[in-house]
Amino acid sequence: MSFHLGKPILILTVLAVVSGLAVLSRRPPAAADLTVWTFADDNAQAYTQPALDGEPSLIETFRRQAGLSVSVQVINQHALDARLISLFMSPGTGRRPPDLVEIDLASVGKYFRAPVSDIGLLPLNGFLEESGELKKILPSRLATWSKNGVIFGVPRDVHPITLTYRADLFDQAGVNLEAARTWPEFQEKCLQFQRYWSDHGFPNRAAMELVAGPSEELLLMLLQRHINIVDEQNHIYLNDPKAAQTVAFYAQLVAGPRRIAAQSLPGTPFPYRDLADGKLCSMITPDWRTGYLKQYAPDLWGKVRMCPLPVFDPGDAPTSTWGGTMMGIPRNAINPRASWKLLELLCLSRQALSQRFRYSPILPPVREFWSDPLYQTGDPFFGGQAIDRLYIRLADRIPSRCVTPFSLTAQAALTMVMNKAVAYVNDHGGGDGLEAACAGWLAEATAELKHWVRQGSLDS
Amino acid sequence: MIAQPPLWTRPQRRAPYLFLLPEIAVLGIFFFWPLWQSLTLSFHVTAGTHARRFVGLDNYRFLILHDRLFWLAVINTIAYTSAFLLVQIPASLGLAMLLNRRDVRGKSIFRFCFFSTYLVGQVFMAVIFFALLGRETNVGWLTRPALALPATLLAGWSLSIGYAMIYFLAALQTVDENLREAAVLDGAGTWAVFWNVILPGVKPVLIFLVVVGTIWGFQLFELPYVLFQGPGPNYRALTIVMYLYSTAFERGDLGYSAAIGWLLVLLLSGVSILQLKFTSALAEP
Repeated sequence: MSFHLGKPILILTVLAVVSGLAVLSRRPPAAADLTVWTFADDNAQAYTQPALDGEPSLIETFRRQAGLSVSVQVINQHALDARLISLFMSPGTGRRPPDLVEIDLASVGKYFRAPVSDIGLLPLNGFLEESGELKKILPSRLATWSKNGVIFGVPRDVHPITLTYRADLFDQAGVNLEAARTWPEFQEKCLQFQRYWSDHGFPNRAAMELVAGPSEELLLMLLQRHINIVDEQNHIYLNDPKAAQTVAFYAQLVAGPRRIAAQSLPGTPFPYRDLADGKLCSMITPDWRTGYLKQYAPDLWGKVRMCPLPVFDPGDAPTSTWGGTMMGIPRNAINPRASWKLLELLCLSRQALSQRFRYSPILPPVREFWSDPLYQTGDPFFGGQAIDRLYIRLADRIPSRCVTPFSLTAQAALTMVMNKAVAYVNDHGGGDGLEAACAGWLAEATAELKHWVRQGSLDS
Repeated sequence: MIAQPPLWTRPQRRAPYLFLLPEIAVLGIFFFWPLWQSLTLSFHVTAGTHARRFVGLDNYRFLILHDRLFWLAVINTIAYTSAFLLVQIPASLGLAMLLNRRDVRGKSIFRFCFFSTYLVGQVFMAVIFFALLGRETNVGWLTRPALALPATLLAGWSLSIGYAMIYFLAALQTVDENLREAAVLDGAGTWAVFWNVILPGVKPVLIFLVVVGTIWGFQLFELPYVLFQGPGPNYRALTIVMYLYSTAFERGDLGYSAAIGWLLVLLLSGVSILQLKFTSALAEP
């Protein structure tokens, strides 16, 4: 047999045709009736794995109740965002959206850029009122996922904040950290702690983990003082006098002679390992961090304790909130009512509690679940301390956190002011005159942010 | 006189256009149309396809006059690109000259070793440097703002010096050996041979590497993004493309990020034209 273009081309052509036919003849997997997108493997496990007591998984329960099969897809957070935003940007392309989707707090601002009527998520006020769930959910958690009073997501969590510290090392230094009621008192205690360890051969041991850069912790302190740097109407509050005071104080926690904090490398395990190694001896701990603590620092078993955050003023909250995830329904979901039923089961049902607790021990946003025995027991990792009870005690006091399309821009502006404040402390060897300087920088930043809002807002 | 048939009925004339058609269609659909779309997008504030507001040149005006983060990204990028080229070009030329010597043994092994870093790519190189620089030291390579640029540069040089060296090695083969020998016979020293014989010989490759290196530097994204898992301490590792990405996919304003993209195109074109003009001027007698 001869082929006029030569044997190699013949072989390549045959290979191309055969592999093409093989791909074309491959049957796609049977599509489920409903699809859930999540970025957290723990959440997917909680939905799909059978319960420890032999009860079926949550999605199997849903299949039996509603007669609809569910596929749970774990998608990397960046990829999930890119796909979802692409779906929202090009409706009518025939691509089927997920029926339920989980969105992280850091990402949600961009979905709220469009006017309410154009946001790609379905308003859930009707479903929440009809089902009676609206009254059960902690109101401060709904604010994060709302725009102009329209709720686009159901919170999966509360994420109150405490302070976890190395009780063994603080006890050894004779410092009672929990006696500090205010942040300045806390700083004094930490300086005392660092002096002790410096005298005992550990000059680099820092009392606390804080980031001297783009910082979530600074935002948390501002929230404690009920300052959302951008509110729901995109008003800017960086020029609040309390903000200048907080930035100046924070800068002196991370720089200068009264420095008590250091930062870990970027990446999940590092702060926990630094706590275990005694390089950093306390850290701000939302409930989701306790899981990582146990995972990455098992050697801390029984050596750590938890306490509420110190405050600046008597009216401040002894806690704050860090992170969050919502579950929402895309506006063009095929069967919104079925999506809602599934959301109720996965997110708001008592049935889901133990499964969720098994994979990620975080507090649910439904108050009536907080009395569940799951949240009442002592935790041997924390020396038998009932940390969930502490979280519950603080949960009702968490300040509302607003997220808008301009939150990230405002955070960047705040970080730049903080950088100047840190440089000021380093240059001047202390914080004299820093608060006034911060007030000036924050006023400038506020003016710039107002410009940003005018320039970039799509709301009429 | 016989009338000529119209153009499209003459098969021999139609054929080239038919052959070009797929390429033109692909270019049109996947290059020119998106290019046009991104240009129009840059005149809008957007959130999706139907939520958009025409703002004319406001995105550009705001970017240039008010956006400090953008200018920080520009400064970081220019600093990176300049420092990158200042070391990469001489180091790779030096390595190539060393490996071009007749008395060096195991040249192919050395060539492979130096070039192999380029094979792993930016992301893997960033992971390697994260492991190297993130180790327990008091230096704080990845946490101190002042060290963000040096850390990125170290990773960038490790990645690309071997790559540039291969180009220089190839260029050195084209340098006329007779010319070199004649210069030596005429009493030219090592430096004079390098300046008057070798450098003019490798100049086209040098210009190519400078232009490509500049473009590479201005488009830097993955390396610092993975190394610092974001814009780095105090935004010192924020590059223009990282800012573009963040504006589009973290803040959701495609119009504004398109404006950043077009400013980057203008900036890069200007720098490349200047470089080409400058290097051509050097070549003139």
